[in-house]
Amino acid sequence: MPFQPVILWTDALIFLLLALVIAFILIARRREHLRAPWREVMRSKMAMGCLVVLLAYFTLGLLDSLHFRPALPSADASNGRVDYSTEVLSVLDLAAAPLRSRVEKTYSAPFAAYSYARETVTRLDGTQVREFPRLQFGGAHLQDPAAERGRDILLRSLRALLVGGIIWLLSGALLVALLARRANTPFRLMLANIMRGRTAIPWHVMLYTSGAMMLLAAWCVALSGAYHILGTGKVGQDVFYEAIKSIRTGLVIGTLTTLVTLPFAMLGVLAGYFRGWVDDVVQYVYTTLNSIPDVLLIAAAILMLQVYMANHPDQFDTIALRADVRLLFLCLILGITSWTGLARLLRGETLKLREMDYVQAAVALGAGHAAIIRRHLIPNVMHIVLITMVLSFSGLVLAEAVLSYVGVGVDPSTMSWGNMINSARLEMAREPMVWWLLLAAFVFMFTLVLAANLFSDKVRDAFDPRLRKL
Amino acid sequence: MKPLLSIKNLSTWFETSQGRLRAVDDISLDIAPGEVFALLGESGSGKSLTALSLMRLLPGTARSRGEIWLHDEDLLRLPEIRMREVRGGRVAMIFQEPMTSLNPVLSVGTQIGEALRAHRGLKGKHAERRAVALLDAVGIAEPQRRIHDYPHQFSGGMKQRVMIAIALAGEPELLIADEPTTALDVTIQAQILELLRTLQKERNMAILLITHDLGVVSQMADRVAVMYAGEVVELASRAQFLSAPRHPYSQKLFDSLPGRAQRGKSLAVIRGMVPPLTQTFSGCRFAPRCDLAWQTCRDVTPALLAAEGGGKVRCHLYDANYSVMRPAAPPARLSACNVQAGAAVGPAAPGMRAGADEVLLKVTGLKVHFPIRKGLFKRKVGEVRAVDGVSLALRAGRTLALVGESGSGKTTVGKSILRLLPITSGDVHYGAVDLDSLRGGALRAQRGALQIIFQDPHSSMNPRMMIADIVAEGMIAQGMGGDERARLARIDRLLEQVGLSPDVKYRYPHEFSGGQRQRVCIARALAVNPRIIICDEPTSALDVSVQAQILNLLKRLQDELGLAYLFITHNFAVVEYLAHDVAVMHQGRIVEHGGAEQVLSNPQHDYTRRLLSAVPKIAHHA
Amino acid sequence: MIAYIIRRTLYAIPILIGVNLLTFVLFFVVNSPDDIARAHLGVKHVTQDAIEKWKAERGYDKPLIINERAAGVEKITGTIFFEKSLALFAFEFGRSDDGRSIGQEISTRMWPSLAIAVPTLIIGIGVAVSFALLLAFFRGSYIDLWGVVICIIMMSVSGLFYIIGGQYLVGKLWHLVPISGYDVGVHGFKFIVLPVVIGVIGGLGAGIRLYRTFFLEELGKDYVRTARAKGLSESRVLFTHVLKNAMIPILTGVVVILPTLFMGSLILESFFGIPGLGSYTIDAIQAQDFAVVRAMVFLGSVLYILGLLLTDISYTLVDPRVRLA
Repeated sequence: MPFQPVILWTDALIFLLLALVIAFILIARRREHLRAPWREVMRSKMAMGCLVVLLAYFTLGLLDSLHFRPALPSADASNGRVDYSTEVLSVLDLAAAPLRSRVEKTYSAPFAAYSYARETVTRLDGTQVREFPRLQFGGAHLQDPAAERGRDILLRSLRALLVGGIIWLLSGALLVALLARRANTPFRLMLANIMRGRTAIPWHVMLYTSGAMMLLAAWCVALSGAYHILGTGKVGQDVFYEAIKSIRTGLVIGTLTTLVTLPFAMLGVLAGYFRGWVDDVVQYVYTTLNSIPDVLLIAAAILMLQVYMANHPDQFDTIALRADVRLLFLCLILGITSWTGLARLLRGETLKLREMDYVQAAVALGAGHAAIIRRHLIPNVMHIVLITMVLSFSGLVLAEAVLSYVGVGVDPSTMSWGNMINSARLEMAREPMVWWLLLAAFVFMFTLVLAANLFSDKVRDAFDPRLRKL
Repeated sequence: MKPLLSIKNLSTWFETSQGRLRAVDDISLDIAPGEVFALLGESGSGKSLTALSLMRLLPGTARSRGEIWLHDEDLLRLPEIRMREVRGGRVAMIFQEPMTSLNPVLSVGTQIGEALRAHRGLKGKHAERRAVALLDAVGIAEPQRRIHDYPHQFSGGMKQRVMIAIALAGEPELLIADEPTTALDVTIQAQILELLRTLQKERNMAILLITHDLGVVSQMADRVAVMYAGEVVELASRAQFLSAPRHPYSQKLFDSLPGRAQRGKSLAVIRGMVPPLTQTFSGCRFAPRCDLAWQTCRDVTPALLAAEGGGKVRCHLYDANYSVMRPAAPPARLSACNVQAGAAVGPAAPGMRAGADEVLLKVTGLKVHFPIRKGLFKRKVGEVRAVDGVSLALRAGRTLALVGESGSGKTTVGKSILRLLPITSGDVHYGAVDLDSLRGGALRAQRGALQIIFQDPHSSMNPRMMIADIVAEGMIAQGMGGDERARLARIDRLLEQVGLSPDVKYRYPHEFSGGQRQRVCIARALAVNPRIIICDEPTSALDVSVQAQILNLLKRLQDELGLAYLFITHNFAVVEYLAHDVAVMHQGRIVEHGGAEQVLSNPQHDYTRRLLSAVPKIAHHA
Repeated sequence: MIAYIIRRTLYAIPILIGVNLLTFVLFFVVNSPDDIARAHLGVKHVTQDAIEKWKAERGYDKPLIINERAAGVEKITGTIFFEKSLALFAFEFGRSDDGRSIGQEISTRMWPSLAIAVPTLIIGIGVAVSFALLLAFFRGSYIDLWGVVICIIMMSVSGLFYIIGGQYLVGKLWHLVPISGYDVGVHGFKFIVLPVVIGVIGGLGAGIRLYRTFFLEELGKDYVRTARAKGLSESRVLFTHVLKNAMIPILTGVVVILPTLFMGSLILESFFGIPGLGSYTIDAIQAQDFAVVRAMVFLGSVLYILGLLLTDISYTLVDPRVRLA
């Protein structure tokens, strides 16, 4: 086999989460009360536009979660033994191989052909001068960068946009054709309906958003082949690649944290249902945890993990595993600091629900505790869980940046937006400024968080009946 | 006389995802100075929205059209700033929910003061003196002191008095009272109605009284307009309306009222339900539910025409042009004995079955006290004696009505018998089984015998379960009904038994009306073969016509299955109609107990007498 | 009232004990003092002597819970648990790695923290409430719609970018105020302005949006309809009736964080070089100075519990319905 699949802890959890989401969609499709609020979300132009953006992020994140170790070219092929590299790669790395491998010496600005730092270069005639050396890869195909670069970029951009446009038109046509077949209407009528926004789901918004994304993607792919479109970092790594690799980190923290939180938060349901000493214990635990400032609790826990890892290097043999365990642990500890809020909400709601007539009727019918919790309580608090999950996603993505800045975020070897900002901060005072790391982190993070925020705003409106009236 | 307020062709509508919802559709009314004009209708008839349209207080999504003339100003065309002078000034309004209608963080003096300042220009000392006078006028003791109190320091009835004081502050010519007593107990209701009557006479103020209660109409109104599905269907003087209501819908409202005269008979019901107001109507809106309708009613829209003997009515029966076309049968009132299809009631008097005298439930000295806990170790510092020594006995096939006002502990009795609330002391025996000593599994196994039906049809079913699952819940819990197939067959039978089609079992509760939901709840209770059903105000959240359906159903089930009901209610009409025995509760105790006939016609206890005299009597129309 | 406060203070004790045990477990049980010493001194080439010396310097050379070698009360008091954890209850925080008294540091460093945090909070609430009222007044209109979208956009920018952007624009490009530093008195003003402004802007989006929902929720209540039926103007309804009710959750939400203002803002202080408790904490985390982190965890809990108490008391002041018992 040319590769050996590797399933990291976070990979496993991500796919578990994906399976849960798919299962939820399948269930929700058959239940009207679950479908109705989602239908409202799906009718919102804003939400569906954001959904397209989010899906693009999630696709990249999922591709980056399929890990494997490539086989090494074996010195001794005859015995049939294959050695695998210690380096863990993902499917995304495979696709972005050129970006990963083309490493310069140090910083360089976006689209630069020359390095950021002067170097002493020995000319052919033996004289030594200090100058900005040409980059090894970025713009290497140009004879005279100063004269040719603008034209080259323009030509490549036009070509990329053309290709992107064609892909978009083809995929758009395919979508319209599918919709037309499903609705049993002629293609042209469907197209006209969609373009004029006469469909229940705002397909036109989704088409335009995905069009913009495809053009942008095509442009990035085309240009990043010849240039470092977002420059390079301190050790010459491509910033565009780093920003894309950071997507997975952000998504893992944003989603897995809540997944880890859920079992704890369900304690709130138990507290509200059983009351008495169960309630006292749960309340005590969450008041205690809540009383410690979040950052300090996270810092304390992560520092202790660091010490533990330093003293037990044998348990964490690969860098990828170390980084992954730290990422998972960060999710866990973030979950511990944030479950209290959800647990309190669930407890409050359960206290209300347990007095509802239908719960009383179930008791009167002789239903047991387990049946009541499973049939009556949990289905009726799930919307709170969902709203909290969606709302907390963007906050967690932002928290990652701050924690990495404090030094208790993800492992320094993990690519993340927080680490990018942190490394850029150290160069703030340099002239000229190294701004592209900040820009890259800002653009990628802002787009994700904004899309998630706008989407969650609609989800909350649809699921929270309190705010529906205005 | 020139009318004080004249509504001409008023329409109010909402744009919804199902289309335009015409809540008020082209109504015209005149209200004379100093008269009490009642707008009568069931929920969804558009009566409250009519009132809000007058005040221009509709929610933001609603639109109005038409003319509303107050003297010679059209309120709908006034600029907002002038409209503010009308609101609370010439026209004031009080609402149904006194509990939530006052601002909790402002003292009542401040809240009255605002109105005085806005409409009378009074400030400071003058305003305070006036506010005290107003509180005094609405019958609040020690107004000098109470003026600084906050709303939570007043009881429900007192809050409604404060609301009235606020309304009076601007010395209005017209007071709109939107169900002013619906949320209040019957004795408080009597006081508030009395107060309104007095104030109206003293100040020669007109009142637009919005209500669903025929009793209130009979006690208060000078003239009545009946609304149905957004339209006025009948307009009459009180005397005319009470003695001979003309529209078939009005007649049905009277006939579906339970009462002593109907004992042993089944009540008249209005079949079907109020049509959705998003549709465009052709013909009479009541035709699909009317027993007297004929083809013309479905084809031609009736107009509101002047009727013989004064007043107006919207019905072809009274329109000479059409009534002649009616095939056979005179336009007579339908007899009260009309029975809903499938709801046949045996002629035998209830309680005549074999073994009827068997005492099923015996409660002795039941006490339910809720501790008030305080402090670090939650030590008990006192207790609320919700139920304080109640004894009663319930026989098979009989109905025992437990009557009382809110806070009397009647619901607590019901729930503690079912062990939904812990019993402090006392004895509850079901047959030979000592219910209060059972624990865990033994208690659960015993639960099938006693069931409960709740008041609020909206919270009594889990919105996330299908009807089939809801009805099956008890069977699963009690291990009854055999396998999946047998259980489904039984669910079908149960649904039919309560008058629903078996097809509904794969639907969710939100698709049903209040009456239908209450039927499902009855089916859910019946599924475990109970002998006793505790009915906790099962009809008080329902319209009177739907109430009749449910009461008929309960009566039929009692006759068929020999069920015993512990019927918890505050409604004497229902008691008169349904109960064999009556127990009157007051402050956690039963103050009077006996046969229905005896307690109702010859009450011994002072409190019972007070309760009975507070019930608004309907001057009978027969 | 006094009795209530005393009782509530007693409630706090089990919580503080919980926090204390938790920090003890985290800092001394998960990793033994030996492990920590080794991590500090570099894992590979470290001798046992060096570890013992490191521990002795910091007083970590005692047994964890019970000192078998000592006699009498010393069995209990001569332990890490007693000296390092229980001592926190007496607000004896011990010394940091550089040998300075942590208690001393806290009492001097809390003032710069307050100098930033208090104005940030007050101005922040004032601005957020004003804008939220504006949006509520124009509810349902385009002003409201776009106001909310702008709030969401502001919320989507990481706080780090507000700081970096502010420092770059105001400090580096326009040279209006120094980028970082701190001074007391009037001279300190120029150091405080930028962090406060950035702190306010950073929290504005979330604040406006939250307060707007408070206002809208109140606007849907029955008493608002009564106020309108009285003939009051829309602005009077909003400013007296709605504002008064909505201020209850707003104020009590603020009171709970009041005490924690002493702790300062980690990020702001560290970026702007403010010598407050926030930057103290962050430096301690980065230098892995566990004694300081432990002290701050405990201090944070105490202040949070104080905030809960103040919240309960403040309810009685602003809400006539609530009486403490």
